[in-house]
Amino acid sequence: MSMPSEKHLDYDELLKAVVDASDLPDGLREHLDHCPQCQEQLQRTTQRLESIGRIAARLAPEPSRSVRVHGRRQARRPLGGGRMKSFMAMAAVAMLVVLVSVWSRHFFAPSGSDQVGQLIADVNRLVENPLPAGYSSLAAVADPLPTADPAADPTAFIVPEVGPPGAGDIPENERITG
Amino acid sequence: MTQPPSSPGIGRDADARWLTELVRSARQGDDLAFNRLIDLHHEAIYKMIFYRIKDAMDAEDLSQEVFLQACRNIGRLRQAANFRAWLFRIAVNRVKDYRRRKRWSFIRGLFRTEDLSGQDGRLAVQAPEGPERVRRQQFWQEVDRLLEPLSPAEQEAFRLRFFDQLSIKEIGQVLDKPENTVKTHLYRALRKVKASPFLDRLAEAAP
Ligand SMILES: [Zn+2]
Repeated sequence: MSMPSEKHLDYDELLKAVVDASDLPDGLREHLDHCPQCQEQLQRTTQRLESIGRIAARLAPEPSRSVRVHGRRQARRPLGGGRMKSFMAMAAVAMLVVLVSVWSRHFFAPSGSDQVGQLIADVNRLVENPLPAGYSSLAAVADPLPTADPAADPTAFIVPEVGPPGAGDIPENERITG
Repeated sequence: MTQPPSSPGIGRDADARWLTELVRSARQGDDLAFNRLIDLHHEAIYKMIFYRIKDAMDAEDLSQEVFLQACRNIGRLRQAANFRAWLFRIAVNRVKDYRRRKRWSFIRGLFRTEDLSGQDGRLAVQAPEGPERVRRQQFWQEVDRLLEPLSPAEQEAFRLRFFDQLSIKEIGQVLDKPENTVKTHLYRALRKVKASPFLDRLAEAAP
């Protein structure tokens, strides 16, 4: 441990002490710990500076509005995400139907293959009712689909007619009637 | 949500623990805890912004932005104990953005021809009347003159220390600078402030 300095803190040392007295060299810190004159000077300088902050706090206005947060978890969900997903799903199904229809007309229309007819029927059935057979009757009771009027169907321009499937293509219990 | 310490004299440690608990709850999505944190820091953040921009209404808007930004990002705060410094850091950045926007609108205003005389209305509406208003205006003008010779970094360190009453450690966190750099800024700021005639005038205004 060093001996306390005999001389008082000079101007620069005083400012260093205002910032952080523990940064003073050991001898000066010892002096400060035991010298009432330097302690008084340090206190007066610090108080002078802090008093400006106190006046500022008093002269500044008070906030007039309160700030509140609510339902942060809900707020983080992207808006309209659900609607966007269903639109994308509908568009994907429509595109699939268009592709299958064009493909079948170009390559298989003259042969009239049963397999193609089956495929188109399956696609039509999925577009109209994606539920498994066991659920379709339940769904029809609880939430009946609107009448399948092609003229009234707004998606008709996206999904071209591919011709009605054969009567035997869709089992009786899976057919949807108006 | 955790309860505040039962007695005001319970001590700083208990307060610090309670605040840390509030921050942890808020981080887990507890809105009540976050709103309590807003209550505890709103005035300090609002005034901190006001000291720097001197517009009461814009200070309201900016402090709201600070808390909304803090709410969105509180999950990224690693140390709950650093919440106050983190909040001030957001506020310092919002003030910087605000000044940038103001500079641009000022430049745009130079090329505008319409009457801008009504712009002082925002301050006039909220400011008190008569001698008190003059006193306040004079005080803020003298603070500006006191800090004029300081570099931007020195000004910020000085304001954070003596106006916002942050510790050296907190100032380092706010400005993202080592504590020794903060001390150097403060020391240089003090040399300039102590030499200014405005220090005595401002300190004498204290009751
Ligand atoms: Zn001494």
